[in-house]
Amino acid sequence: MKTILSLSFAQDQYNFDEEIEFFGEVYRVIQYSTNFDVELTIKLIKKYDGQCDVICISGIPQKIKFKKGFFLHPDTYRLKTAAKYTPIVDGQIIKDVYIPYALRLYYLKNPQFFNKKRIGFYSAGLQIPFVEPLSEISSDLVMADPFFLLKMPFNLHSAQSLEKFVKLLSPVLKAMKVQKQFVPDFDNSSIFKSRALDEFLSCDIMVGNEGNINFLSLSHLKGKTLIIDILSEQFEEKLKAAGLKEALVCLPQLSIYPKISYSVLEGIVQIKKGDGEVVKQDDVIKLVEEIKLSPEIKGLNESNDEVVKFGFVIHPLSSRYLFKHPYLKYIKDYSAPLEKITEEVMSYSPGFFYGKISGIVSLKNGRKVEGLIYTVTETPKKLLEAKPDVIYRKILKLCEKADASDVKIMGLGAYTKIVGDAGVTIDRLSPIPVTTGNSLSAASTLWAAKLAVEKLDFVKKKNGQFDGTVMIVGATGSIGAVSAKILGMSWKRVIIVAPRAYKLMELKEDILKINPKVSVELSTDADNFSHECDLIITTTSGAGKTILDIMKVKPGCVICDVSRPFDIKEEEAVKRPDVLVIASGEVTLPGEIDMKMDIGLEGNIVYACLAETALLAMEGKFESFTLSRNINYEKVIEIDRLAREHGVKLSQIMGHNGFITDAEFELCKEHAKKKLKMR
Amino acid sequence: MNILITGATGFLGGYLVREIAGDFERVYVLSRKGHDDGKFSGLSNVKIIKGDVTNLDVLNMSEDEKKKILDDVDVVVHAAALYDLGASYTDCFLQNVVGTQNILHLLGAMKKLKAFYYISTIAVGDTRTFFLEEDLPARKNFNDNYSETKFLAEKIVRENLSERYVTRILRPGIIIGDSVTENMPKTDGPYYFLEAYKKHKKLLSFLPIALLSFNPRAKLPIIPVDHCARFIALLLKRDEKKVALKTYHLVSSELPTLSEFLKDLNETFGLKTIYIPVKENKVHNSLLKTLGIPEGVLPFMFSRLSYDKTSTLEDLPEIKESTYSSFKHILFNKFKS
Repeated sequence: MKTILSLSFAQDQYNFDEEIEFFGEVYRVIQYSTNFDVELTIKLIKKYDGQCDVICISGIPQKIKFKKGFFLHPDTYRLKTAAKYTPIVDGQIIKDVYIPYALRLYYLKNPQFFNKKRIGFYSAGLQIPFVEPLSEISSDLVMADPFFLLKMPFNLHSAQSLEKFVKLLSPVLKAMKVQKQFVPDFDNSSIFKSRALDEFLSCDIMVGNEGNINFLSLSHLKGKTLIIDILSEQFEEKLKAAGLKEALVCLPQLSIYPKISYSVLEGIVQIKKGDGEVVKQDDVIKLVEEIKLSPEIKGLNESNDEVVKFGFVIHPLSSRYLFKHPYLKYIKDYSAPLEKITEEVMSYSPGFFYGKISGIVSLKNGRKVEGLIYTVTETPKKLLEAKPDVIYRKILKLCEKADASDVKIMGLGAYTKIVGDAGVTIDRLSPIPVTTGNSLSAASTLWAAKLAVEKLDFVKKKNGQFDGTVMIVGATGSIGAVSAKILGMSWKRVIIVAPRAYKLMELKEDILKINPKVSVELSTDADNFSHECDLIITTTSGAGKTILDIMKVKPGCVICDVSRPFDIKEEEAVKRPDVLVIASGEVTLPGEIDMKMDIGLEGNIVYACLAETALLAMEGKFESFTLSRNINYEKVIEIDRLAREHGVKLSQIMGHNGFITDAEFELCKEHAKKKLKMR
Repeated sequence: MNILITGATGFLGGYLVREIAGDFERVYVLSRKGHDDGKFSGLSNVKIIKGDVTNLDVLNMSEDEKKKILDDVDVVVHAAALYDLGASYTDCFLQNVVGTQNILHLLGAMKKLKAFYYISTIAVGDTRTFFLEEDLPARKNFNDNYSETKFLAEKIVRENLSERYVTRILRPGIIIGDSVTENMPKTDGPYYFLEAYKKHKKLLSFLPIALLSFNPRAKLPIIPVDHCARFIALLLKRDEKKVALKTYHLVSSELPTLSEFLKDLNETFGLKTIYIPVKENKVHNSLLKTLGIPEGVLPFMFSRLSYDKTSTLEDLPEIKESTYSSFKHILFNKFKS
């Protein structure tokens, strides 16, 4: 049996001598914790040099490589060269190869994990394999090396400044002994905190290892995320007690081998290579593939009782709604002559917190979610008139406010997402991720349209496809384009309508790529084809302009009016009892919803874009899911799946005056049949 | 029954071998040199084997010989340790921690093994509490390297209990000389005071009152070496090897308080000094050090520790007879003017 001597330089009181089976082979692992005692470590190395097969040292300062040259602490050099016969490894080769790979792997699968997060290194110099991959992922890095190593009150913010710092101070660092007495206090309750320490403690994600953190006061880790190379059981308990929220463990696979560290793993690779051979990066790549190593997130203090908050920005749908403002509600009855002036004056007022939606509980994971609703004071008209910068600033102020209230993601409602570049700039400048919610708006529109068409039953299905014509008015818009692509898969004929013909031609090509059999026709005027359509989806930002003459529409047609304010006004809809005008896009959230405010909808029903924000909060997917005008139909399909999983459902189909009952469907059907007979 | 003893060349170990030689068929004595310098020449069943507890391969012999011994041993007593309050941490760690871990590994290869006796020390306990026999409370601060490394070693023993054999942890107090011959090869524990008094007798005779940082009710946990060896031998003989782990506090009964001990010191050196206890402070501590009393002894001056002796009294009722009044002559006779 091969014998491994493991010397844990940064640990205390953890000694064992055990036989460990690792992938079919049994090794005798003898560990001594030497508690930063260089002399003891050297004595043990010399004592067992030639008596064991490999000596593995963990917790020693590792080599810091620069473009030109490297820094190596003299103690590390002494320790690594103390043996004459037995090879000494310290796990650095495994860390150099595996850690950047693990971090990138995790980032590609979970980009939101690092989204807008400030990442803090206790000592980037001692954690060098983490620096490069994290510099690529985030630009908000705080390296507390000056404080950690020399108690100097400033931080470093890039790999370049770290290199300069280490090079400049290398004579001092070399003269310092590696011992825990030098470890400074990271106590967040201290009143004598430097600005640099404050900056470090404000980081969302900390990067460190057991050797760095074990001797610090851990209270500052409460509610934070830690990226760590390996997590031992004892240390996990300690972090849990300190209130750490979660840990991203690079090598969780070793948790079933609690006595194997990076250095012991490298020792095993060394033994397999045989005497006289040196472990190379290729051996590590082979090992990673062989035992399928990958990182894992470990929740330490997460409970379903914790309420996740999301934010949502709305605006008054018309000047009438302005009188719901707490200061103006008293003059509501006399509002008519004041509407115009109020609309003008209120647009100068900043946005504010409007109300709360609570009681949302996911059906998938039981996570409780709460929505904080903010409002800007501009009516749709004012929003379209104003310079985008002004609106951005207003919304960003609300995002900052939301961030301070622990909101994890912000949704943009109705016209606030139409302004400027549809959320892109706001997302870039906001401290929290932002979504327009358009993906679920599109999905729910299609749910409602499909259900309404099925209920009226004028269009027959052939091979799972509606044998009829669908028209999308405003097809080049965000929701319109996606609706057109998705409906193109299930309808025989699609007519796309928008004011700019060249955009329509591009869209036609996209639709044909998805379904080459569909017949696609273009028009810049909805009225040209409205008499042929069985389903019309209007999703424009016409702000009240007439975009469709309802009188020309085919009897029995379903008009799905997604726009807010409506494209089809109520008084127009009344003129055609044989046409069903639905105001889709509204859904219900799972749980017993308590909504103590008026967002212009009844009961538990919420806007689909709001529901998308809530869904992302339920899933814990705090990322800018939908942005800009071009929404991706894959995202629509993904949000459709999430909605089904978490229990977000289509509310009863809504018309201008609330729910459309089955009787109303029947009545419309009757009228349509009569009209069709008359033809 | 055959027994293997480590540390037999030490003070307690030597007494122990002589105590138990008659009770075992073969007594294997582990020695670094491979011979005993004639220490056990009269004992025919004592076999000296060459080995070093700090080596990975503790037994320094051929595989056949090794196997023969390992298959032959029923009981192991691990008494080898570096007891020197001035020794470096590295040396203490190597002997006490590494030595114990290596012995534990060796036990794994002993097919017949029934009992493992580990000689710990009373110093592993925190001197501020009631020290239970069955417990080893977590501790971070130690006054000397010996206590710290013995604590780590006992921790390892406790973490490596086996189902194949029983483990007995014996924690002797401060070992003093032979109750018959009064022989004590080194200065230790109360002997530091005796030596200091001998040296500064004249100076002390001019002091009617002395301010001394000590706890007058602190008890000196001492035991004569022959008593300790006899008690261990009795335990070895009586052990029914039923309970997996038992811990014994081997300290004599009716221990002297520091006031009593200082009174006896006065009497021995013909002094009439009145000692006024003051709280532990750096000035008085350093004064004691200048008198020649090492730092390692200081905790016992302020100890509020009392020792649980439930198992000891149960299995060794004879310990009641080992009282301070019956053996205090060991300490003072030599110094009486």
